[in-house]
Amino acid sequence: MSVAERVSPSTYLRADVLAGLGSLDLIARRLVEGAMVGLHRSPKFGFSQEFAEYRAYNEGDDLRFVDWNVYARTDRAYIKRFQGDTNTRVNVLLDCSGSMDFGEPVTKWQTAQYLCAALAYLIKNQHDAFGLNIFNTHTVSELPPSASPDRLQRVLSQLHAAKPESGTDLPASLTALSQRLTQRGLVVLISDLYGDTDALIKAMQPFAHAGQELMVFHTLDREELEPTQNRISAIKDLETQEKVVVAPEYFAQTYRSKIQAHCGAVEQACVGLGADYIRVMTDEPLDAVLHAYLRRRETRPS
Amino acid sequence: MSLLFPAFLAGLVAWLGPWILHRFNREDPPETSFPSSQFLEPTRVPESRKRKLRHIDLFGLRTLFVLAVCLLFAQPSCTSDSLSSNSQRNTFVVIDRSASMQTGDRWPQAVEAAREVLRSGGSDSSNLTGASNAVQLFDLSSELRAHADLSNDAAQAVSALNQLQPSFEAAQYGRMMQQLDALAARESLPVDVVFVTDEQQSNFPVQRRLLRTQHIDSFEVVRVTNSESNLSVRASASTEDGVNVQISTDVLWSTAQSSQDSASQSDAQSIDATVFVSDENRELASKNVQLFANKTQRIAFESVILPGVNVQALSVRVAGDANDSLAIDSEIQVPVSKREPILVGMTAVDDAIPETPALFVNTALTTDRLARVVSLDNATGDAWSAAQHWVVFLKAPQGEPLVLPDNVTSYVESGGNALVVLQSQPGNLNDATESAGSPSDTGYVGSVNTAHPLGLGELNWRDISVYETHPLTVNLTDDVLIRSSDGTPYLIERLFNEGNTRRSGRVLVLNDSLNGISSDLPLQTAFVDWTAQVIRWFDATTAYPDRLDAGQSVLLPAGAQVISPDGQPLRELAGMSAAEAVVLREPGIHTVATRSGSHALSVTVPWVESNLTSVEADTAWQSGLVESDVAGDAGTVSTPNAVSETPILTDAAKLPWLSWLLPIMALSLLAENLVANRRLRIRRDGL
Repeated sequence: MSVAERVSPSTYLRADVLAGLGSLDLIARRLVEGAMVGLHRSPKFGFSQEFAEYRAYNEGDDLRFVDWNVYARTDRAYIKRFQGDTNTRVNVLLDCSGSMDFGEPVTKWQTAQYLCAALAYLIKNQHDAFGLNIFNTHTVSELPPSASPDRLQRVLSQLHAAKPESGTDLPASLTALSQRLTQRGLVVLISDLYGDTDALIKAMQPFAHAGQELMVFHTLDREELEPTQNRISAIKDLETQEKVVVAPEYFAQTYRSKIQAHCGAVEQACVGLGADYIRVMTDEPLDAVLHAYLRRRETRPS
Repeated sequence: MSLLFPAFLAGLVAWLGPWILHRFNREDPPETSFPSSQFLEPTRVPESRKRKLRHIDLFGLRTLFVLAVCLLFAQPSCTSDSLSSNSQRNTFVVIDRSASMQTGDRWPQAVEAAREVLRSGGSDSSNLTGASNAVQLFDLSSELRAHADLSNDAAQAVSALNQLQPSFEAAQYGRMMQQLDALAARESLPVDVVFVTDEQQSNFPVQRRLLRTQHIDSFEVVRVTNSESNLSVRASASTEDGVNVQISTDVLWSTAQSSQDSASQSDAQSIDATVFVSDENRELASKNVQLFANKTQRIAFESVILPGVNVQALSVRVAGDANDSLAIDSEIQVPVSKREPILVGMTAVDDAIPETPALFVNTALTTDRLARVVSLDNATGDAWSAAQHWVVFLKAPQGEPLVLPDNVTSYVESGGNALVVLQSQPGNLNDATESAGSPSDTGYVGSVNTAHPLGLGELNWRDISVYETHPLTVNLTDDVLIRSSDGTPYLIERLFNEGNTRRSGRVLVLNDSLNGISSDLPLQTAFVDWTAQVIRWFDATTAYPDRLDAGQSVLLPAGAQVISPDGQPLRELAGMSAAEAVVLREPGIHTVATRSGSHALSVTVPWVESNLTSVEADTAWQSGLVESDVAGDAGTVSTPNAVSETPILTDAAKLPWLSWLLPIMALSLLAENLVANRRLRIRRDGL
């Protein structure tokens, strides 16, 4: 996909968000596979300061890695091996369905744009590869993971070009992405997660099985959780454009319990899959949410 | 409670509008966007919400507004009988004295009916109180006249009634009602009016609203009619050669049926009649004609030989098979008007008449025998009476205000008309070619007042070049009719005695020497037309009509006299020093004598009085009025005591709260806006 236009970073990279991120890094808590030296632990041995194991010297091994002290004491030659550090690939799955175009003071789509841009900025500074997949009922745009210098700019352009519209097919998009990923890395899902709860959970499972580290950013508006309708209204679905006449009493009782149950089910499923579930409200400062999550992630044992 | 215009009650159904709006208005729920309907279920709207009359307060305000509008138009009123039942009342008794009352025995019937009303002290309803009422007698011809004072003693009014005779004039019901209303407004007591009349359809005003009154408490009509018919004629005669006379006559056969009955029967009814033209000695011509009821028929005599040179008038008479109950309009004297050229004098002030301009003016005036011109140097005193209008050549003022000589001013102030042509003096000219912008350009006629009755807009002024004009300073009261292209006044009308009742003539000042050098106006064909229009416009002020209806007036200048058919002068000598309007009340040939000669004027019975058609009882006057005939179809006089009365409610009897309707309406509208904005959540911020 060609870059439609060059977008100023300040459009989506909010200064307050970047300042809140500070020196925090988004480091994979699981072993990730990369081709370059980076911040993340690699399943392979490498050249970090952290000792891994001894291995009996075999012919052909590099003599520089022979632990001569052990050889002096035991008269046996052993190779000293260290854990490897690598970079990782971060794939962001961004929902741009019509339902994202809702919320005050900013819409869920705008919140998602800021969040995605902040993550891209963070990943770029870590020299990790960043990939973006924007979808609704189909894939709207796709950027394969790359750590090239212009990656951030291309991400911003894609964010700018996409418009929230149409319906959504989140399970299909998750399934398609899981089938394409060959290396372990980070998968970030930014969506309002409307759809069949069981199908959604089922679509997330392959990521956990493949060793992918999954982070789910559930973007919601306060009106979705706590509707303030006080008269009978014709509710128009932003995705299907269908109209449903709903009484305020329904909003105050049944709807709230249903949406809470849905959110709870998704969160429980994420916990069960070892994924991070972060609820992002449109009326909350994005820097605070992101900073708190990254800080909690740093302190949490891997 | 009653309503003057019950039809406006129909407007009350307009309150159904707000009721339907509030009762059946199905308000669709407002549409709201929501991210997903995944967790939503449709709610069934309760039926009670649809059927409920919503926004009761708003509905009440809107209904109040509609009600106020309806009442404002309907003008409801309550009778003040309860308030004034124990008080006295005044009664005006009006007897119709128009010419049609001479028909048959209408006048005796009317007098008898009026006498009975006067003796009974007004209408029957007033007698219920037992109080004696004051009565006053009026007669109606061309105007309303009071006889005797308003008094409880009817003897004086009855005495005055016995002296009355019907006139030859026409009654005007609309004017009478306005005059009665004004008289009633001066009275402190409620005023009842009893009108004894023959109720001619032709006397009713076209605009019936003129019959409406505000201060008359009740109005009763006592109609005197019989089954009469009338033959009437009116005519005009003119001659060009003094021998052959063309006579145009209108003949009418009318019956005393109502207009509705006569319309249905007019096609079936017809009579044979003959129109005779004669002089004092013998019959000159006659024509037979078939007349249909209430339809005017025009008959022309193309050429009647005038029996003598000195014959001033001819007699035109109509006779037919029908009974002619009103004889005064079936034979009239018609003056024979002779179409002669207008006599125009030409003079110069303090100088000899300039040769070239006089030639141009003379040529234009005598075209088509419009006028005959007499020239007179330095006309003074009585010499001004030698012509009907004057063309005066006057030296143009040299930049000073335009002042007319005293003899011209006095002539105009006495009713004469003059066209003043300014003549050039050495060194006092504007070169219009210089002000036109370039020496090679010529000036032209700039602005023209096309609205002036002189009819300047009908002429072609574009082809006229103006080379020289005189610098003029005009008065503020002068009306500049034409300006040249450099803005100099070119044709001015000087107004005399503006707002004064004294009659004065007309003066036009032409800022052109008419020598063919200062402009090419006298060389253009428009000059002849313009000159003719000026003379005709002048003539319209001094020409006397050939015929007038009895009761109309003729405006006479100072020194003029009018002689009645029996040879009596109608103007007092003391009043002849100023212009005066003289009312001519008797039919016949009148003679207007002025300094320039005499003029025969025929006064006839008004044509509207000749038509005896009466109105339908149910549509006459104002709605709600009940009339009573004192003469039936058989012509018998019923007793006026049997006259019934239904008072017409007027504004005087209305309740004062009527004046509160407008504030109520305004307040309800204001409150409706405020409540609607609040209840219906009308936003005013544009969002």
